[in-house]
Amino acid sequence: MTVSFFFQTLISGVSNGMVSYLMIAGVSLIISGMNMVNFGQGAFYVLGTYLTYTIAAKIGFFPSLILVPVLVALLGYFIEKATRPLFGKDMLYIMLLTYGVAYMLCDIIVMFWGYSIRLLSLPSFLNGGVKIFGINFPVYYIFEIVISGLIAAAFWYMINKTKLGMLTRAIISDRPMVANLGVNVNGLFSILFMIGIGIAGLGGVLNAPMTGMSPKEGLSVFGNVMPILCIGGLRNMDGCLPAALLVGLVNAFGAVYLPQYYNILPAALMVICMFINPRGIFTKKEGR
Amino acid sequence: MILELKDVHGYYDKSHILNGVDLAVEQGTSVCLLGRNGVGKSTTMKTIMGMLNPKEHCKTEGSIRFEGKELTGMASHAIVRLGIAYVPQGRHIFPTLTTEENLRVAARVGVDGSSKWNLESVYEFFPRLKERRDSKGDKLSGGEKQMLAVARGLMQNPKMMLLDEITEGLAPIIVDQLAVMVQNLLEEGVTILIAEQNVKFAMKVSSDCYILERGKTVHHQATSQLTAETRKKYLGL
Repeated sequence: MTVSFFFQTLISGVSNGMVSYLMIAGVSLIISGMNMVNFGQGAFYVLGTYLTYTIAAKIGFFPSLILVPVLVALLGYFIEKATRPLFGKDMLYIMLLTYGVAYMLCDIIVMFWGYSIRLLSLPSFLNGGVKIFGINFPVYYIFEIVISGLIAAAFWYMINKTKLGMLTRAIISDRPMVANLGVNVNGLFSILFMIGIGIAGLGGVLNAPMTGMSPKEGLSVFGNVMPILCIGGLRNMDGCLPAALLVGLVNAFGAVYLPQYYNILPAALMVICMFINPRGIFTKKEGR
Repeated sequence: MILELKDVHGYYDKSHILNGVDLAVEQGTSVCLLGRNGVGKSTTMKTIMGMLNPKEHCKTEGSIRFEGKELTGMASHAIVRLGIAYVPQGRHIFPTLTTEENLRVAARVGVDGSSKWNLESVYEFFPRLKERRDSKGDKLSGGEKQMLAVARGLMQNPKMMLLDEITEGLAPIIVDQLAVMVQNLLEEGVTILIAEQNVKFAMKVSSDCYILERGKTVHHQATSQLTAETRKKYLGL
């Protein structure tokens, strides 16, 4: 492996990891804050991709980066409202319900866009490569890393420095007490769900020029990022980023060195990590 | 009367826990709910705060009025926004938030637009909390947690505070400090309803007391006139 190939693989792994992070950060936020496993996340991600095909063709790629996540989040608002009667009941019910929602969303995508797999053509300056230290990198990978990195930083800031983030952390440990501070817990849930879904939608936008997706992948794509969630820790929002990068790199280098085992690598890593610490290898082991 | 309960009944699942609670609190005073363990003091507090939510198989009957407004059927957060701060039994400090975050998360402008209580004034009132501002909630001592729970209530700039068993599990010296604190709060114009097991503490900080027995108000008297006989009869002391 030449040095330049190594770095190209590295960047490809990091950019894939960062885009997966966008999907998993929302899942993690929704699990932590709302105690709800949202199997629909993948479908919202794919919806983001398909909306981008249509919207970017009309108003361009950059406006879609903002408009599509907002549209996806708005849809999330209504879906969250619809799932509310199941809140506070067995977590399994809501898990299955979100799975049903994901199924419906995928079929709705088929209704509007059909089965054909598309690929968005990029604005010209995001095409092609850029030379850094004499090594050629695809510009779009760098772009994905920058955008996702900004979102990751904003997400960290929100959780750790804002009142919304404090409320999110508070609600994890004591939901009734949050209501007793005069906070409308249902309203807070709506906001958290919309943020979580919106970031997934942004991931979908970034994905649109990269891989052609079939509508039905809304169901499987969540399975693909599941290892990230388990490695980072189901309820550890800070674990998402390192876990996403780890899995991205394992995928990228696995494809080069162990192509015959490529498909099982992330899952195997997940199983090993869950034996090491089921709450996530980036979670402190002693009580919280 | 700022707060008035008339014939309040409360049900949790199939058990009938409150059986006719009557009480009235006058603006600017401190009133105490006394009674043996399990007579419904905490449930009365929770009922006022709208926590016996019908969705969770609970039910409230009777009338609870705050400044003339009926509270039964209202959501907890809406009741808080009328200007009632609740300091629950067991303190319920958020363990993963720092002291300062526990305060900031509760900050709210009062119904009258006042923000007299803010980080600065609360730290002045509780200097110890300022020293512990960066410690996580679960690293605080019992006394510190209790101060923080009260301080968190103050951050809401309430008209009235409900203090549920704030002396529970605390050393006598801390209990004395809390008594001074409650007296200071009264001087600041906050109306207070206290549920207590500690009668000595209650007598120090409240002007009026109501005694509950099996979820029903059975006695009402000025705290200063609470005779040894009455205490023995209802409280076993």
